[in-house]
Amino acid sequence: MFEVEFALNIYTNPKKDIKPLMYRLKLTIWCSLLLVSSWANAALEIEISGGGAQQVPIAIVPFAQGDVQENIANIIGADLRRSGMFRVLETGGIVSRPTDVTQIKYAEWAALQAQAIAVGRIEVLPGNRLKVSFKLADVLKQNQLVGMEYNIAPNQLRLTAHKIADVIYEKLTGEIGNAASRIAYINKAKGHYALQVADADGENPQTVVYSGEPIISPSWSPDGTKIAYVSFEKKKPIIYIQSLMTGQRIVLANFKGNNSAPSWSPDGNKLAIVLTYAANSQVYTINADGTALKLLTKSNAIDTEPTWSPDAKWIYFSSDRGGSPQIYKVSALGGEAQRVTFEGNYNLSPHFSPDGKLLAMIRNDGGKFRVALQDLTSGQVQLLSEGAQDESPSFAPNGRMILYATRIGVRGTLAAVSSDGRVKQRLSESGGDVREPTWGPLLN
Amino acid sequence: MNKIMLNKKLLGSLMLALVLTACKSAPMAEKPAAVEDRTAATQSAPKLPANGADTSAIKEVVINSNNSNSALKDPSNILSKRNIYFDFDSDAVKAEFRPLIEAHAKYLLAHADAKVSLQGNADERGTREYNLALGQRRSVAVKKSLNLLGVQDKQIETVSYGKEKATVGCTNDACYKLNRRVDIAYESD
Amino acid sequence: MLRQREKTVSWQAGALSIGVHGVLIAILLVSVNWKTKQVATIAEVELWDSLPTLAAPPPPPEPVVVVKEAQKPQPVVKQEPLPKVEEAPVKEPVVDIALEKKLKALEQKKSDDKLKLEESKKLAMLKQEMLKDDQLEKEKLLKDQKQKQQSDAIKRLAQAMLNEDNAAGAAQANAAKSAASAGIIDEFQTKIRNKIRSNVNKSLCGSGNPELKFEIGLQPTGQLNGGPKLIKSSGIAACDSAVERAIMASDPLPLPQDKTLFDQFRNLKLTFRPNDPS
Repeated sequence: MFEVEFALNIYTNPKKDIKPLMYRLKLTIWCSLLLVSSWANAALEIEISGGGAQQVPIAIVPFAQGDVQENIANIIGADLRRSGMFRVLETGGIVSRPTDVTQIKYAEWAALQAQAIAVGRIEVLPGNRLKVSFKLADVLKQNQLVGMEYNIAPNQLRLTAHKIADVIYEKLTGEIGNAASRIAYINKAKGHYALQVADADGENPQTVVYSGEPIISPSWSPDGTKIAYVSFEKKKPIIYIQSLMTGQRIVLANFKGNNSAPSWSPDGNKLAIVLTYAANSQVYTINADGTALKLLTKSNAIDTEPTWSPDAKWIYFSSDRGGSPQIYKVSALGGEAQRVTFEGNYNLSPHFSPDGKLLAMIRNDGGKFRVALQDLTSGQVQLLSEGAQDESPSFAPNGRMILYATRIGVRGTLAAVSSDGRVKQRLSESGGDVREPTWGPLLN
Repeated sequence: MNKIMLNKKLLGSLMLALVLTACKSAPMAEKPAAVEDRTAATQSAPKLPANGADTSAIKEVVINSNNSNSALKDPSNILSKRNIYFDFDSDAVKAEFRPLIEAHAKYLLAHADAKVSLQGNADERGTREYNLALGQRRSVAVKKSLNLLGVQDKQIETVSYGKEKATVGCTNDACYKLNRRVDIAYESD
Repeated sequence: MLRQREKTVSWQAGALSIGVHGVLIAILLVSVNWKTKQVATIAEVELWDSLPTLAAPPPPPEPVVVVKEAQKPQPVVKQEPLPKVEEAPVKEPVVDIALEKKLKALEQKKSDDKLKLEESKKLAMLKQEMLKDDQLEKEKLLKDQKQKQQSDAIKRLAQAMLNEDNAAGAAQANAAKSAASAGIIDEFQTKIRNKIRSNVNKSLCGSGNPELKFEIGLQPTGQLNGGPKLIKSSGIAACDSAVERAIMASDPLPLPQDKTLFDQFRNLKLTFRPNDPS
């Protein structure tokens, strides 16, 4: 019988080869375990730096307002648009016209890319009054953010629209709005000068003073009831303070020589002014009733354009005591002046932001007069406007916009720029040669 | 021809008369006007023509224009020049204007009741208040020149219009420089 | 002509045939030991004339060398010792009734014992047989075991070699697969980041360097599962709201097609630094 046997030789050196095999197996197992474990435990973390959006997209639905002529939704939308912080969406394509939060179909407004929506109505009340009610809602969270009601006389409708715009602005940005405020400026036409006060949107201008001689340097009292200004009606600059309500005015200062550049203290009791009766232009303080004149600066140079810091501690002014004009500050109680501006060789016209942190000014930048902004904390300066004949920078009540005078050809016009330089606007021109704008306080 | 010349004379007299009446309560100098023979001659009785008296003839009265008020307005008189011009960003009174200043100083010293307002001006570049101050510097410079010539401050006020009267839209210095000036304005103007 | 119309796979059939033949031959070569074992002859008949002188006996046949694999430790089989049988001493019979009785008893006993002995002998034999059988079985088992072990070892080895290849391949495949997945995850992480960032309104976040953290849950569709949860505030309410709106306005978020990767995106932690340069 044949024996059938196996003859099988697999490997020559069994012990050596088994190690790498085991090693590899182990490695594979561990790696798989590791992967599995990492997949199972941590939530994915994503870091997002910066942001691509600059405005809040909002829909202002036309109010139900019956026969009331003034389109309130348009005024609100224009205010928000002008602030630069909102993208006011066209609502024409949406059919529904909710007037209350309960009527809002959020999906269709979300489809419009809106993040917020304002709705409202105007009802006529007995005694020829109006009830204006509005609501603001979050389109994404689908809830009401704020609602207000106003009982007003018909001629207050525009002001109410501005107040609503400010409520919306504040709710969504966390800052106060500017819409319910006024501006003052000088309008030169046909050889005459008119000091005018208008709404912040330029509407509703009213003439406060009308003269055949120049008027310059209007300045709002902090409570918004009076305006100080410089008039040449007596063939020399004299400072007047006039009540807007009554039209009554007093002569604040008529000393020999120039009387000019009035600037109110934050509490409204004093003004800083510039007189030349001793010789060159120097800064003084004086009570609002014309008493207690006190010299503040002492130099052989030009010291002018005083402005109070919002905390009432300092008076900033321009001076060419160093050769060319720069901005200095002196304690409101008097003392040594200290230089404030070190960038550029020609800086004038200091104006504070309401929070006291920013200083707007005019810089002569190679022959072009441009609006510049200095951060008083960091010292950084940036140029905000193009020039070439920009003047009279004035902050809005919330400090975000700066109003100033510029020129198109030979005609003066008003413009605005945001404090970060992002938003630039030209105010609508209704003819005339407009200069010396100043932004008044918020209206209640 | 004669008629035209007559008209011119009439017109001239009328104008003169108007000027005189238009003058405000300017303190007239007490010094009597220097009267030339001509005037005396004209004020004497008219010569009657040989062939008989013509009483319808118009008496011409010629007044000597060399009096205090007309001196200030007389175009041929340096006193009618009222503008002093300055260089850019400067308040130095240039030599070429010295005669002018001297003339006005002389006038003021001669007329103690005369008062001047020195109105400084600046070109349109820069802010209004700073230009007000610049203009003021120039008017003060002129005042000092007058002081040096003996004129007292009580006869002088220095003010400034800054750039309020400046030409707008200048593109070259020929235009700008016209705005860098002091205007001498008399109270009686 | 006809051939041409036939299927052209005919050559493949031929190849298959050759292959199968080859395999068969291989099996035969491999499995069959063609060496023959010389078995010792039983008898050899020789015709003699005379008594031969003592010739050297024929050399014993060479034993066949059988190469065996390494001996695996054999289980030790304990052999049960045979039960010892003690024979009772035979005593001379003494005539004595009592004695006879005793003798008889004894004899009885003896025979009983003999029987017992026989029985026990039988038992022992049986046991031995059984044991032998057991042994045989065990041996057989052992042998089987051994063989099985051998073949198992072979199999294992073969498998191990295969695994090694596979593992390497699988590890590579896994690595490739996880790399591809990681790539896709990165890609959609970026897409999500970009979409949300495009909606972040940083103008509401002041001028400092605020940081915010949100947690969100997603459904496989990319839609938000509930609202974003603020974990860390920027310190500015309007900024928090703006970023929350940015997240909600980005709904639905882009997710990969491969739903097996969804687990990665089910819960996301978002960290915002709106005033950092993007």
